[in-house]
Amino acid sequence: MGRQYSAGPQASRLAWYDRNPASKLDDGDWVGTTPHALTERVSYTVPAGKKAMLEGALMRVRRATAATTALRAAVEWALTPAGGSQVRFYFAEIITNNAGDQEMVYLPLTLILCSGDKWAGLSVDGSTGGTCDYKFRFKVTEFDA
Amino acid sequence: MAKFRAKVTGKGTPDDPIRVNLPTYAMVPGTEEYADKAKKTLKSVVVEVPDDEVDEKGRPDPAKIRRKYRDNPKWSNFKG
Repeated sequence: MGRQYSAGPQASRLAWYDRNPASKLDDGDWVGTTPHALTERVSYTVPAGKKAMLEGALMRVRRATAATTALRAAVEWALTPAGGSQVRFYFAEIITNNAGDQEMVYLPLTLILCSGDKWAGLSVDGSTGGTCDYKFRFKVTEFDA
Repeated sequence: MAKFRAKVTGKGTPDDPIRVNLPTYAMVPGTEEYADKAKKTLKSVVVEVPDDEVDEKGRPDPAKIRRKYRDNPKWSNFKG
């Protein structure tokens, strides 16, 4: 009787975190930002021949000074698959109008991004007058596909 | 990271957000230049991009960007 082999994945291949891993981080704070249309603040695209494990992200929107007319102020994380359309994946928003009102979201993630996929942080404030503070932060480990 | 001032594009709509036409970048807070201050129409902003996407002068290099991302998605139309 011949030797039996498992039909599992290639056992000799290194685990993803051992295939030339590289940490990529980004961090941005926008303070006292006036109302604006939907704006992409940070963007990360996975290079050719690589994949990336998105391990964590943070976003915050905080009303810094009250608006004359308050409308939605929001932060969003969006994912655009290679060759596809942008999908706004996670969001946090405020519609109240007191200085200091805020929403902050910590996202522990295990999203695998494929080559050409794009991860982006966006903000929007439809109010009239007033200002908001925004924060975006994320960390990925990029590795050989 | 390389830093330079880049033009922004987009209308600020869900399908066409205001952005810099580069694959990987981070806008530097406080560096926004407005075309119309009253309407808060963003004209340009300083961005940080990875070192392997710029030439020796620190400007975005289309050939390096196309090679790194293998033209997927298409970056051939970008204007630094």
